[in-house]
Amino acid sequence: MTEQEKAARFAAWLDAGEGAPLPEELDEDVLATAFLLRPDMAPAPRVSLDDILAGVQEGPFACERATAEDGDAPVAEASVVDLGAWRAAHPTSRSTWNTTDETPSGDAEAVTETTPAAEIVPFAPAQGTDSPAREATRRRPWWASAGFGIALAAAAAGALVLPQVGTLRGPTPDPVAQEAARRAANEAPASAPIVAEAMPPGASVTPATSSPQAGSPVDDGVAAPKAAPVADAVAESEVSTGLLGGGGASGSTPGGLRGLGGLGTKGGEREVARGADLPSGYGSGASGTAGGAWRTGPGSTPAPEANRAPVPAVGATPVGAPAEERGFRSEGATLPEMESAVPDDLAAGPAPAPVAAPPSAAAQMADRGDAMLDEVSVAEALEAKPAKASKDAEKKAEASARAKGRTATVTRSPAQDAPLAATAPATVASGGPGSAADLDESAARARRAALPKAYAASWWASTPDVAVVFGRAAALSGTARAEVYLELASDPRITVAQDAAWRAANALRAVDRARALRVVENGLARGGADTPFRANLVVLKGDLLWEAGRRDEARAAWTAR
Amino acid sequence: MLEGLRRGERDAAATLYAWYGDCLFREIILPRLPRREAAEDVLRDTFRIVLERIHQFSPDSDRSIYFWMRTIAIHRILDVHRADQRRRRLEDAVEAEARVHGEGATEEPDLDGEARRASIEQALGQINPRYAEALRLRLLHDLPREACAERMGVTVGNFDVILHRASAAFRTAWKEPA
Repeated sequence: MTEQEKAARFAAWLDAGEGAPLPEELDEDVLATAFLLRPDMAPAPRVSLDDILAGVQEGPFACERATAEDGDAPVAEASVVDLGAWRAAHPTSRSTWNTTDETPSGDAEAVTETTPAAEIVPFAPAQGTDSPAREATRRRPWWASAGFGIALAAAAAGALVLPQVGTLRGPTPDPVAQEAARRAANEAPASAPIVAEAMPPGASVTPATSSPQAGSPVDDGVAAPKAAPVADAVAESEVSTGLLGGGGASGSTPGGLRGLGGLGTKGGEREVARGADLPSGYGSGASGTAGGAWRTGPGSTPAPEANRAPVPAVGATPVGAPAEERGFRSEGATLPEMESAVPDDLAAGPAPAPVAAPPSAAAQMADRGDAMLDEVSVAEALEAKPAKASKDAEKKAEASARAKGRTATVTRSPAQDAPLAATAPATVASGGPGSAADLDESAARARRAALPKAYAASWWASTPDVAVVFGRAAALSGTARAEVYLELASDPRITVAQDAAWRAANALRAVDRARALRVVENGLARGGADTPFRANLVVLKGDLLWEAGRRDEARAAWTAR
Repeated sequence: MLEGLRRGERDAAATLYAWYGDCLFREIILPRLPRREAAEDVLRDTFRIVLERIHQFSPDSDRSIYFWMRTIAIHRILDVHRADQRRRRLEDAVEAEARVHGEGATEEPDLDGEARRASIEQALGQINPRYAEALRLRLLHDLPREACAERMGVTVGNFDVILHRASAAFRTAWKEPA
């Protein structure tokens, strides 16, 4: 390709404006110069956020991705119950905690009569088979296996239950029953129920609920639990939000009564930890999981190995995946369940914070002229010394606004960087049928997107001819000011013309909106390149239309950029 | 947003990308690596590194997160140039830039304001005056090529060639502001 051909292609590309495909045959130096001097001519990146996140290997975003790839539901922060806050908001609903039966709400006595905190919960087979956590589980030593754990569970269950039925023969579990339980556990799937088959003959464990009809007091043989509402035990504790790496974590709270600890699962196997002390003697321990998505309770202190016992988890609350999907049945309710169980008068949360009322239309009208002047003065101050004056100008405008007891409408200067422009307040000058208070979310979003991106600095600002005109305009106001700016509206330099149009339209905005709109239209017609000056016009056009009550047109203007 | 990034919130990442992705690509990466695919790879890598190492960024420092991202992007560009020996001259330029904005820098330079403008004016002063005029008229003042040609007293075709040569000459003369 000859130099002439390359030059012609380069010229054609520049003429085509934004969005034109890059000419591939051009030298990189030529393109680099064009991008340096006119970043608005550069193509937009074709990289999506998903592309970026897909490559993240470490850090918090990698954790999120790994969780999703394991096939397990991501742990939803929103599913973690802030029990303290909930209880504070529902002071009379304590007895509804952890109950799914017909226990009358508020019937504390009825709940007090039923002390069971422990509950044997059947598990469905685990979902997913090849997760790293599951692999790690397979490599665990024999003493950490599920069978051994279940055998210990059987022993502990016997210790808990047998004294009540008067058949306790001693603290040592029956070895035959233990062997039977181990055999049963080995034959059973990893997440099979840990209930009856693991129990010695004659032993029985009553599924614990907080209802008065079911269950019996939990007795771990160490200390007789003092009856208290399960709701207390749960509500007194704070829910841990930590993602446990496997195994259980047990609740550890001051008390004197030994409660039941946490439940941990790894790929379907369970490791139940006897908890430390709980204030009310009820197990509300933590359950953790590596890819299992079980969390609840005050899981702050790992259970000592000596305390590990095959005691079923109590009140384990699934976090993330719905319990039904995992075959889990628990009396411990998730937050939605609990909320649904709360009577209407209790479920009603605190009243939302009052929203500040928008200023009245009269006040907006009174402020409109000053707001317009502030916009212009701020923009001029920014453009006079774009880089260093911007903050001072903003402060000046804000101080001016504060002195007038209102919020300033600060129009971003093209000299400011794109991120700042992108976060500029979506404010439409008040007054008229449309006002800032009426700017709904979609309109505000469209307007924000239309705000200028300062890809090109205001090179023209140093030219003497432009400075002279701006100097004359600064001494005037209203229509006279606009007329001076309009002297540059037909300037052959498109950026100068568009900026002059924007300034003139701003000056006309308060006195002649229709003419201001025409000035904006003329400025837009001068060029289609995505410069900050054109973006200012786009935003202003939308503002003017919005103020005139032509909201659909305003949205279209903001989104047409 | 920073807190959200540290918690791994996707919305925060989306906000960061919306704020800085476009301008980083257009203003920092493409002018130094004017190959779109390669530039997009650098943009992707830059944000990947930012998200992976977000805990290393301290908001208490005197540099903005944009400066941090910009430095990462420039180093990634340097890596690309190192892998491509045919672009030795560009590599030198980027290396010089990396030195300027390396660990020794204590203040965030005025990247998009007067310093950059001064560097461009300096480069324009180093090239042929007619080249500089062509660049000013067409790219800075955004005049149509016909008007530019008329002002320079040449045909449109000749102006195109002058502008093409001027662009190559400018890139040679331009250095990142110190």
